[in-house]
Amino acid sequence: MSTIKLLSSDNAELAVDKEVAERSILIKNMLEDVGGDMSDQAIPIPNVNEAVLRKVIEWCEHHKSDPPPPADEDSDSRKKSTDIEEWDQKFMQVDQEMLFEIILAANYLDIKPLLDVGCKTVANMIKGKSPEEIRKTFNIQNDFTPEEEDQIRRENEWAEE
Amino acid sequence: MATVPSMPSITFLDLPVEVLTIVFEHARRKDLQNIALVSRKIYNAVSHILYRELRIGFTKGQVVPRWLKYKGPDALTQYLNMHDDNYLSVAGSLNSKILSAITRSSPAVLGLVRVFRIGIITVIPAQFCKPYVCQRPFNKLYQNDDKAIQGLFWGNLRNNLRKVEFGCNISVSTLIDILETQKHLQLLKIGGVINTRVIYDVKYLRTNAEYWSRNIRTLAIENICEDALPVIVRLLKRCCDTLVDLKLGFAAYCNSHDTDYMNLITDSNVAGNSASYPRQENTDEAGGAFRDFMKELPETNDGKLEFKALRKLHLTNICYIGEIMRSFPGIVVNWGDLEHLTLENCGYLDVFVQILEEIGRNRLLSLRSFALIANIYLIEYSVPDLKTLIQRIRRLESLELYHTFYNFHRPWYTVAKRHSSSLKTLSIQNCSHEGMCSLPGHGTGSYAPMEFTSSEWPLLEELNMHVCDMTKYESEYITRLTDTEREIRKDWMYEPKGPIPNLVKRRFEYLMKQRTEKGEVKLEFPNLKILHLSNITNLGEIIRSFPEIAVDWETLGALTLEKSENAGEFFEILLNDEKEAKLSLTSLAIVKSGRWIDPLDYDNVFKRIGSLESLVLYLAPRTHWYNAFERCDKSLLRRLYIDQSTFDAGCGRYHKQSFFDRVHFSANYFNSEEWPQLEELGIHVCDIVKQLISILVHTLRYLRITPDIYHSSDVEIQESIVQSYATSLCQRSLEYYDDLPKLKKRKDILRFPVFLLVDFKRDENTGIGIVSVKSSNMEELVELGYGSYLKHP
Repeated sequence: MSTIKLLSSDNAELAVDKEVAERSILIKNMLEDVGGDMSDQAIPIPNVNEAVLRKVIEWCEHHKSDPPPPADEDSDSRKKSTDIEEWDQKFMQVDQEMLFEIILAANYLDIKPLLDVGCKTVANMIKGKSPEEIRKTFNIQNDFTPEEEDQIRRENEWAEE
Repeated sequence: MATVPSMPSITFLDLPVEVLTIVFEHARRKDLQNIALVSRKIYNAVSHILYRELRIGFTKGQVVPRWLKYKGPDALTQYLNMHDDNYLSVAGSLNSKILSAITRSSPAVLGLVRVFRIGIITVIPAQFCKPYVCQRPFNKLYQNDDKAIQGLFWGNLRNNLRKVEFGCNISVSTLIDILETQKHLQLLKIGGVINTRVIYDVKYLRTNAEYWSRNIRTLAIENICEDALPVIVRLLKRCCDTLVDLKLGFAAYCNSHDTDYMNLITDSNVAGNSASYPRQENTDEAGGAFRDFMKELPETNDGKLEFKALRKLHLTNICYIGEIMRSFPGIVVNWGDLEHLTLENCGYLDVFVQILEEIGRNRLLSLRSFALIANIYLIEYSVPDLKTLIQRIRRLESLELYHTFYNFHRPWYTVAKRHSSSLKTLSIQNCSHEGMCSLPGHGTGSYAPMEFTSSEWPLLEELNMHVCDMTKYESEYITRLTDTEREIRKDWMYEPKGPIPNLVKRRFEYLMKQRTEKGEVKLEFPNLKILHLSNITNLGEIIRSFPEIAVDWETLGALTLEKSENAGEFFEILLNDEKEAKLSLTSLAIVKSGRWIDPLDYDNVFKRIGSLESLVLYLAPRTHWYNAFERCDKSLLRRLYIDQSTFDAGCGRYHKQSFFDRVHFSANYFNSEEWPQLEELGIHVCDIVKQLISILVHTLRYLRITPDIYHSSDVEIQESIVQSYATSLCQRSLEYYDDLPKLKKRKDILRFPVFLLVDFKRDENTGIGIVSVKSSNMEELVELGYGSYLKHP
């Protein structure tokens, strides 16, 4: 099995199985573009630092033999569930900053299943919380005027499920 | 390992909008509303998700039995498509409070709305209501609501919407408004389009249809009245290129077929020779709707309707489809590529079946699901063709035959067997319509379920098996037989003079013996998840007697026993294995099964059925009802349908006193602590309106009240029962309404959306029942017109 090298934003070089790296659609397309032969040259990943990249590779390693996600992902049929499999849950037990870094990396590298797991984790952090609690959790300032807040509450009246 | 972050630390707000969108798509709606209030940036990111869909209606979303999860993602759609007729429904009125909230909303928010749904009805399976009494009662929008909605369409929602769904009837002019204002429409579903006697200029339509959406892929319009025909034809013409899923139903023209049919056979004395039934001569009634419809077609350009992309077709109340296809070559459907076909109440299908069969000769048909429902005139002409037709289907996954002609119970398994290796759903209803069961010829093989052989049905997940109610009619049948005929049948029929034994068991014995002779021993259903049996008395005894029958009861998800008496022993089997494992059952329905229970250990039943989400008890005896109700785990229950059995409860003429009084039913049964999950409560009508006022189930989303229509075949008595209910309900409602100011102090009560009342009368000319509903919501008393469309001769 061939190995390729990835170069993180802080100039760390990481060797990865090609199959594992190709969980990233970005890398996969890149390799296809150059004809697959990148054995001696490291691929720069300028937006992702070493710690995050290692995390991402760890995830890809564990999920390398997953079936590809279903092709027809209609926004309607998209699973609303916030169920996360056990391994992924453990994997995502990191501090907020790392969590967001992983999400951004998954977004940049185009690893959809990882992006989904990350986003589900964030969605779970929001679940059942009041606006004030959400602000506290993510350290967000409330920049609404009372009138604006009132208007949104009125809109919500009919959007209620 | 020490790492030095090369970037400044990032926070939630640094996530780009496209990522936030994914996060929010995973969140629940309730959470989204809180998220929207967090900050400006987040509000902007979340609002296009939060306001994408606009739903109105007191059901506030579907309550769906969770066992549907066993059936995959399409199951719900199928479930609703299959079952959304034949209800005595008390569909929602528009909640005017919500509507005015919408109108007050900022234009920017309405600009984000893409999906508009209104009055979508939660349903229970049709078998629980007798269809002919309450066939297609429609509600319609209250006139002012109608106008308000038109206003929305022309105003802030203009050209925004991709999907529009009305669970109720709308007027022709509202339909035109929808089409005129929404040029990007992709999905349109409408419960019915009623005559409003609005005169519109067809020429106007001709020019304006040019602006209607060309992208409609899913179209479902039912109960189409004659006034709407020009619009419908133009709509089909406009979108036939893109249509993938079409459901088209005319208003109930053929309602009277039961009576017609019965007259037909009594007059013509053709017992045993079904092929000689005379074809009904007056075809105006049956095919009339479509004839009118087709008159409009030449008006549209070249008179052609080519459905090139169609994969799913559901037709209702259209007779003579085959003749229509032959007479109008301009209508082109690519039958070979069709994947789902449902024909409901479409009589005289013989020519149509032949057409399909001919097509299948050149290349196998792609049909994956095939359903025939209540096509009363179908079978006598087309059984042989139908069998050939089934041979021409490549791979069938779902076969449903409901309310088919009596003769069809015999060939159904021949039909199904052809596809036994691929079938996941099989629904056979051998004319459970009781009137049909007295017919000659019936019974000659109705226990064909025993034709199942092991390993032949490896994928079968859902089995709905309704056998005829033999005990009631067989003796009559036997008296008609000749001696020779009796001799042939003696092995599997009881002696006409003796007492009536367990007929079903008798049949099983006979068929099991046959199977053994054939060398087939086991009768296994390895994947069965959903089982619905009707008219199988003494089920437990049968299963005990035939150990060859193997069902994994522990993994069964949903069980319905309908008209299956003496099921006590069956429940013992269900519970008595040594493992004492919890059953997976999440849905249990006992319908019209009087003596199912003795002796039954109620405590054990409800201890072992640990996670019941849906409990339906209709026309069960009092003790049963009471015990089940007392013992089931209320903490998980999401749906509860109960009645109080006519005989016990004193509905109508039997007793004056209400059952709820007798067992000291009180509002205390329902309080929010005890029923935290209850979303749907159906109560068979009795005198409990007063008690219901105090129902405080805070999660409750839906309340259904149905009048008793089971126990009397006498129309007059039925009517008087319903009438007296309606009257008393209306009176109670007013008292209730008077009490409102006091009740309003309780916050929970205000969450209780709408209270509905049923009135019922019968049109003397047509014999069709008309149901009218009054609804009082918390703010005002609203009167809803609630009628069924009638074709006047």
